[in-house]
Amino acid sequence: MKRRILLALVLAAVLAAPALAGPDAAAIPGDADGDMHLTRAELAGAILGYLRDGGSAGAATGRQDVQDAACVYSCWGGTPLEVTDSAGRETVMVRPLRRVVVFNGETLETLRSLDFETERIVGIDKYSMEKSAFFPEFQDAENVGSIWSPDLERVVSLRPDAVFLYATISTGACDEIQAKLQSSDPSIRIFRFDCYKPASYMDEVETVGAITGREEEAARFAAFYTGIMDRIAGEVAALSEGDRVPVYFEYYDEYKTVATGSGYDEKIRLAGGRNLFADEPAEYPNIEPEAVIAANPSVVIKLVGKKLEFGGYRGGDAAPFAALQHQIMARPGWWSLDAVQQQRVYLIHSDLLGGAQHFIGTAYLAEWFSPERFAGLDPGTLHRQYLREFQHLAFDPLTDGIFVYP
Amino acid sequence: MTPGHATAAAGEGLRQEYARLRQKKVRFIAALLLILVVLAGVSVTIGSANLSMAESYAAIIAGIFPGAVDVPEIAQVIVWDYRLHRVMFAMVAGFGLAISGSVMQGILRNPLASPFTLGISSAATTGAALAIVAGAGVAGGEYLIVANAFLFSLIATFAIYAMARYRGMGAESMILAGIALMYLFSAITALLQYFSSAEQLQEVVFWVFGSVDKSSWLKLGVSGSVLLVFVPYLLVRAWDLNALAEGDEVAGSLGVPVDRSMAIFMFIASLITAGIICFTGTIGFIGLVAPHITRMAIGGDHRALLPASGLVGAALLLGADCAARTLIQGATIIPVGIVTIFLGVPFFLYLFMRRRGSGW
Amino acid sequence: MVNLTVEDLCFSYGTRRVLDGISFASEPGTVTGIVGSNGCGKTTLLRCIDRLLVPSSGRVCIGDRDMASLSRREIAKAIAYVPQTAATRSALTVYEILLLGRRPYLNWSVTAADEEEVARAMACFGVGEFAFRHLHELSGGERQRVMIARAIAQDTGIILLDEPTSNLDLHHQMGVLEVLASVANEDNISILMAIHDLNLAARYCDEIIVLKDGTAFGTGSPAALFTPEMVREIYGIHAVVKHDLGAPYVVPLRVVGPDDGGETPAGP
Repeated sequence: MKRRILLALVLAAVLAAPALAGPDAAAIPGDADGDMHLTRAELAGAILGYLRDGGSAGAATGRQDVQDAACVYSCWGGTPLEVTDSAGRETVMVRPLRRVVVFNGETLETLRSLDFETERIVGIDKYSMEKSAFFPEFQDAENVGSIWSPDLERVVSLRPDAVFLYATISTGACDEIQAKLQSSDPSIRIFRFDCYKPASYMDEVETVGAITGREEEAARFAAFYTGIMDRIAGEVAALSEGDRVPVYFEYYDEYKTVATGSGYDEKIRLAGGRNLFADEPAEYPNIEPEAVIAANPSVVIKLVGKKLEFGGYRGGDAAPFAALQHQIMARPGWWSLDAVQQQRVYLIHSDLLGGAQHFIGTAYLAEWFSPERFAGLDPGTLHRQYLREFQHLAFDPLTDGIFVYP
Repeated sequence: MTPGHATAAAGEGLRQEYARLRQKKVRFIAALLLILVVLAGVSVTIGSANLSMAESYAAIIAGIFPGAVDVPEIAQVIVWDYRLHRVMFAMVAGFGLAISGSVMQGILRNPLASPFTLGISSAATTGAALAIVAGAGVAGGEYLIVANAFLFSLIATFAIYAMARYRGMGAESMILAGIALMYLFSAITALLQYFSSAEQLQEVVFWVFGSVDKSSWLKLGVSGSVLLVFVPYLLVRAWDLNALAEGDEVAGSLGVPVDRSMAIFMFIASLITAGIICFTGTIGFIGLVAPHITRMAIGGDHRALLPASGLVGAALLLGADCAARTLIQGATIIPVGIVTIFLGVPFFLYLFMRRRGSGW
Repeated sequence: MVNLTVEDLCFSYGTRRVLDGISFASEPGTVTGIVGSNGCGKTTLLRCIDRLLVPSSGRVCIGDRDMASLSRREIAKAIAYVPQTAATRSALTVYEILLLGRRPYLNWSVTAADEEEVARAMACFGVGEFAFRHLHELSGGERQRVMIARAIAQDTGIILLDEPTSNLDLHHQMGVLEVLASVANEDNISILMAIHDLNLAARYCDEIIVLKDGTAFGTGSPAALFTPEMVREIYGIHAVVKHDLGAPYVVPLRVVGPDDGGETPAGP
């Protein structure tokens, strides 16, 4: 009996320990009366206290707290910021982001679009790390693995105050990362965004802008993005179902296509195409080869990159693109397809269609589907503008790499 | 000994009974051939292109006798470039996998022996996965994957052979060595998957499931030639397989050079398997189940068992492929390896429950 | 039919010498029994004679032909072998198992002559009544008869059997040995069998080879070899041997103790 009481006491002590240790994670720094509102007087008190104690070890308020308090006062009017991420989770922010780990390459790209400080990103996922040509400035950040095999020890040792994960894909893996991180350190704020879906991307840009205090940059980028997407949507809205161009979209593997529910299908629709295999039961179905001949697409789109590893930001020449296009057009019986007879077999790199740059890819699709309607769209120049103005990369997509063919 | 009329009469009775059983085997094989012809006949007419039956057959005839019949050129392309080789490849693959399963089960005297349980399929998958992860997924690298799969299945065979040889080539030691190898290769594949990207993973998964989607005339030619060379040899030596199935000592005393024959049969069975699964990925179930089904129906004499189990395997795989292409609305194909198992397991269990008189 | 001669046969598993200088001859039409305690090399001797094991030295000849110069198929036409541990399951029916005995002569199809030979072997051992059943449906005795019948169907001048009666009841033991003896006699076949039961050996064997630790302890007729001394030496048993029933028969009394003298005590 005594032993059981002792055990209960120890357990209680262990459970209470994190709550007792360190500053209160849920309180605004410097908020002396704890009413979740940092007044001018409270901020002044905090600053004075810091100056008086000179930042000594035992001081009630540290340098970081004062900086955060100043930020909360000036940016958010002294009140906590309430944000809702794409997974519908509400977070009450009492401090700005200072040490961020990003598991989601699309969000990393979005953060860069919003000009978020590079040095505040302390850890990135392994796939982004591998894209050294696209993310050169993060090569010194820590590699935290992928969502499938995260290096959580490293994440915790980086003492992040925020971690970005996917919202609607790989939810199981992301949920697990979230649960583990929050149980080891409840003060870590978890944000879940996708940043690659046309339907939600602009909302996400706005929210990420608010979280990072980059509202102006977010608005500027949103204007650029919606300018392109609205132009396409405007033209496409006038199309009847019959006016849409019949499209066969082929994934990396031969005769593997996409259907309703997949991101590629959505972009084909947005760009004014009619995916001939949209009604297949799987999102990425393997189809009978002869079905393509029977369906007779007017445009064929072939996805390259990743498994068909050429083009993209790694540079390279057009030879493999030309070879692949020739091989596709020479498939048995394909001479009968409108797409082949009219030379409308296009290759596009997955970097432009899958991630945060999907609007560039969608613009290319739109131009291929109806060249006369989108004559002045010029996706290549838009791509260049995006990289220069928003990504701050000295990479010219029209000369330094190949993303589409022809 | 009581020679005389009674014995002669009894002998005549036995001989008639044996002849009757032989007739039964012949009828079984004939029925299988018929089923196979019908299945093949139906499956060349199935497809999203919606060619009519008449069009499909006219296209076949037009391909053999150009100008004999009037069919749209595109129908001819669809039948000849997309359907015929697939149908034939499914038959060849099923035939070969079943025959090599029969041979392995026979010489190892173990109903669980098959290319899959001996680690040969796992080795092929490892070989393919290695090539995929090493970056052979690029257009044109397909043949590197195939070659690597083939190479690894032969490596597995030699490893089993060498280990068993070292321990004195018993049937049990071969099976144990094979199972050990299966685990080893599965672990290597899992490790490779762990380090592969999402796209590579998908390609490896294709291998694990198995499918005849990637068939072509060339691949049909390769797999078919392997069968054409080795199946007659196996049939000629059917009595030796019968003897080996009774045990090493019995086979030896009946004049079969045991060690050498075991090695040759293992090698041939592996070669046939490798020549198929390097194109299809792991279609494991056929090699295990087709010999059993056949043995239940017509017994264990390899003279009939080999061709009949081959035909059962061919019918199973072709039937499964038809189902894989038609089960789902639209043009989607399910990997045939999965369908094989869905079709084969209930059928097998039914037979197994109904009668267990196969001797095993 | 021809003589089987074994000359100075030696065999080793690795460094362990199992057979050491065995020599004997077996005439057509005789039954030779190989007796000896467990592990004395009986099975190894049979396997060496059938060349399933290759002797380290010495020769086995059929007539004037050295076994070492014969192909496996030629050996199979000369010698049939029935191992002790027969399979209990087979995918083949009994009829097919007997046909398998014809393997040395078969090409692919079964001829009428083969089927006749099978029918004859079946008749010898009464196997015909379950000709189209499977082994696992038979009793141990029936299985043993199938295996011996296959050896008969093999139609060889020499038949080797390893403990042919070990799974059988007394009735079937005697039945099988009766038939073997008559087969040897009528077809002029030389039969060589390892056998444990000394009394059955004495009754049905013309010649006896007593093995002890891989050497021939003695060869000769049962009457000459089966003595209380031999039984004590080979099996460590005190026994008396009676000669009043035609063939000698051994009555075991008790196990030789550590303090026993050399003399066998008189029977009760």
